[in-house]
Amino acid sequence: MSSDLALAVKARAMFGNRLSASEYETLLQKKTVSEAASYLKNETYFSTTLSGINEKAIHREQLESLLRMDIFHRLEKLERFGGDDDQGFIYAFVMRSEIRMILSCVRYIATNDEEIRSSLIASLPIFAEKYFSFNLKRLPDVTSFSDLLDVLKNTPYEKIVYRYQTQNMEEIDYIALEHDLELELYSDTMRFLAKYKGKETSEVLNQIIMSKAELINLSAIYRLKKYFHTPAARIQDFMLPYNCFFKQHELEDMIQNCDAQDVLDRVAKRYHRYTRDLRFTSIEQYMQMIQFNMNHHVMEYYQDSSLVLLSYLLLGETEIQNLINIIEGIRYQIAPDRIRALLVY
Amino acid sequence: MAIVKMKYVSAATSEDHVEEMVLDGIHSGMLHAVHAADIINEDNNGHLLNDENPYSGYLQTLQNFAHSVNYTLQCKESPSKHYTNEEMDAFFNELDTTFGLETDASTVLLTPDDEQALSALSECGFERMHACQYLTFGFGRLPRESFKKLSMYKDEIFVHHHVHETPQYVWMLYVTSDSYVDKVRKIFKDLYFEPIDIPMIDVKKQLEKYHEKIDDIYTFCCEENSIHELYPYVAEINEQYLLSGFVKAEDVDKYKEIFANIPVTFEVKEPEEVSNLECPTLLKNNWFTRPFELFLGMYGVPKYTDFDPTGFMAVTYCLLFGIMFGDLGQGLGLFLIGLIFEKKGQLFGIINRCGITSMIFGFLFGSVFGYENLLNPIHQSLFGVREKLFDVMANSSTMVLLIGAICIGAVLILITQCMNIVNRFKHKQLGEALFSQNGIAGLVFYGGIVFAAVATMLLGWNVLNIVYIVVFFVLPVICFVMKEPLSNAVEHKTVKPAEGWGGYITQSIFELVDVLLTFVTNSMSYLRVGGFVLSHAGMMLVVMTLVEMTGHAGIAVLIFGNIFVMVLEGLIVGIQTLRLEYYEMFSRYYDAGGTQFNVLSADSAE
Repeated sequence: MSSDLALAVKARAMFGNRLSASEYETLLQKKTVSEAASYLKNETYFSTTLSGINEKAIHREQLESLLRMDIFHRLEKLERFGGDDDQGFIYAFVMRSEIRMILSCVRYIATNDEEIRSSLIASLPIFAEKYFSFNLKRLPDVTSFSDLLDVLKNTPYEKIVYRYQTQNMEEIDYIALEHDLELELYSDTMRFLAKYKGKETSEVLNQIIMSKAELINLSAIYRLKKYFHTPAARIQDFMLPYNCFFKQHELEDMIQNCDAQDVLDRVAKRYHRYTRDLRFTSIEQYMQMIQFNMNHHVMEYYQDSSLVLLSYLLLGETEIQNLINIIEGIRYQIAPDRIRALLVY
Repeated sequence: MAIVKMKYVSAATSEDHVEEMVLDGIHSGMLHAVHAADIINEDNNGHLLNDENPYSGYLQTLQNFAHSVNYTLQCKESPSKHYTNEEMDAFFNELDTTFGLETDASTVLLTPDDEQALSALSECGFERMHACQYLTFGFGRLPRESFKKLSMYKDEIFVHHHVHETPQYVWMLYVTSDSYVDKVRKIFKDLYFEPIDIPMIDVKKQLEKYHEKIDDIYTFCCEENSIHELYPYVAEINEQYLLSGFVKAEDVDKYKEIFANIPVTFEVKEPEEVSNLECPTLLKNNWFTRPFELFLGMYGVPKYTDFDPTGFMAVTYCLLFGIMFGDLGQGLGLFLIGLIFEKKGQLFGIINRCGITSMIFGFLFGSVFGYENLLNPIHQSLFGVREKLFDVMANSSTMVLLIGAICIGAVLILITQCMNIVNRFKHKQLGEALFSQNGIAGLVFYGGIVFAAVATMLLGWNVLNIVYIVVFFVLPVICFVMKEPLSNAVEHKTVKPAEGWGGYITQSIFELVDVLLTFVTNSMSYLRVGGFVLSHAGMMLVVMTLVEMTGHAGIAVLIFGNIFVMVLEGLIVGIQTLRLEYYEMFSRYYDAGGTQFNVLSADSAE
């Protein structure tokens, strides 16, 4: 309990440092990536992470990578305040990087292109190496599926990648592989959450994770109906097998019988607690705002370390995504109003 | 013991005079500037001043140049003239041509660490590196994260040497053959390598010709750069450039006069008229209370619209400290130390004030550097007592001290409740003023308990009849439980609690237990006041016993013993008193949450 309280207090204190609306507004006024980097370095709580960077010469991708690294370090710092139960969150966080690295490696095997290998090395998140379930540094030496399977031995990914093993590299179904790995991410997270069975926390944790998957599904239904007029049977293929606020048959009913606007109305009604005063600009932003409000609510009202840690992680990721949107918007000279529409805070 | 009255002043000028306006604003030393982002909004169609700062680039270029040629830039008092950007560009081109260096800020950037790395690299000999015909050298800095990845490139088409490092970067040299140079550069580019040019020539003679102009331009750029760094405080609204903020009301005319030489129009408003901006707080205190602003600042300065609790804090802090640390001699010591070092910091001012009350209570307790009987004759002649006014170490004194401490606590709690009530009424928070534990309900409840205890124990009255119980206990408890609906009713809001009646009542009953316990624990907390009186006397008794035991060395033991007790107990008592102030008193009547008044200066933007 005491560690719960310490972590919750520390997380809230750290969350209090988050970028404010006026800081986002100032960032939106910046004309170059250097100016944005300089502002983040000198005026915000990212100053520690960005100290020593040469803001005039920093590359956009390097800046993004530093910001991603920052949230990882913050999470690591927070876990010191929590109990052993909370350690799992860091692994759940690392899983996404693992999946990204495996996919990059498969791409390298398929092309055998030295430049892809070079990019693969450059993108390796060495800072999180000790949390990886496989030896990250062996990935650049992989030249075939059997090498990759050897690296992934005794990890949950081994069986999945094994299914896609083929001699003809042109046959690899990347989308299916990515989908299967994503499913593994969710099922691993569920296995992790199963530890909390019986605890009061379990329900809320479950809700946070499952609603994330559900909102991805709802977002896909909306987009496929609105922009692609995809047949119901095909929409089913894109669905993750999870639901939360909606029952499975309700989701199926939406796929079968609703148009895009109906889907949106039902989401607004079912998630009414988190959609109050929400303005629709785009489906992605709308869904992210729902998640943001949900996590914000958990961060404010719950003491449990696991809940606070998870909501802090998700809110932190949202903030980093906002910054990446701003940096990329500035890089490609997109009008501040259009970038603003993507921000979630 | 007050908050200085402020005015919101917005100075507006045209684009031509922005720089002068900002400079005058900095030099005035009177303005607490408001960030432009807080002023602009969709209604006033305002913008942040997006003027790019070319001077940071020029400064960087000059610094790069200086690092490249090992020259130390010197900032003069003021530049000899105003340089246009064209003049500076032409001068930098001339430097490039003469020295054969690329000094553009966007391509070459040198920091002190770069310079250190270059210095280490120079041991290899720049000329020798440039003389190699079939090898290419690359020098620069690599993020530490990327440096770890170099070992993964097993093709060995380059070798590298580590030169210098910081927690974020590693400065290194790589060497490759001309055949692989493109491939190697691509690898390093992917790893975010920031190349730094390896210098080629000795340029000391050339520098003699240019150094005066370089320093002059450097001074000019430093000055302009510091102005531009304050541009976040300048808002652009309808082609007018605004520098806005808060100025002491008495300084407004003086502040306006500073801008006399430029066409500036002023808009002066009361802080209440700009409720979207937080008015800063500047405290105004007298000689006695001023040092206590340090402790208040640590807790948080009051909001501009609140009252300044420094005076009350100073009096109660000194009083409690004096009781706990009552010794005439040691109090004099604290007083003198505080007096001598008062200019070194506010903490010494507090020590000085506490020394005064320590002396007073030390005199009343008859204690001087641990000698408990030294003042007996004075006590006997002044107060007509048989030995001394109050013997702390007497058996009969213990209970008196402890009960006295609780009485002091009860009085302070009642005073802080009254202060809270006045404060809440002032802010029209009727619910809090009437029904909270620190409002009238709390005052009636706690006052009722205190009065009943005094009447029963001291006067022998039995006041606990049914009317007394209903008025002083039952009604306040109902107010505590029903605080939210009652507050809503008097504040003309929906009476029904947000979480429904069932949930609210359950929650309130648990909270009631907490409130009642808090009254008990808060009162008990003051027991420490009596405890420390006994502790101080006990420690001095130990010192005096050691003095007697050590014979001729007794005087040294007496001095060191007193110093030891002064430092150790002075620190503990200081902290305990602060704890009483923060937790037992501030928590009842003070909200803090204000912003300290800070005048705009050249350092503000850093």
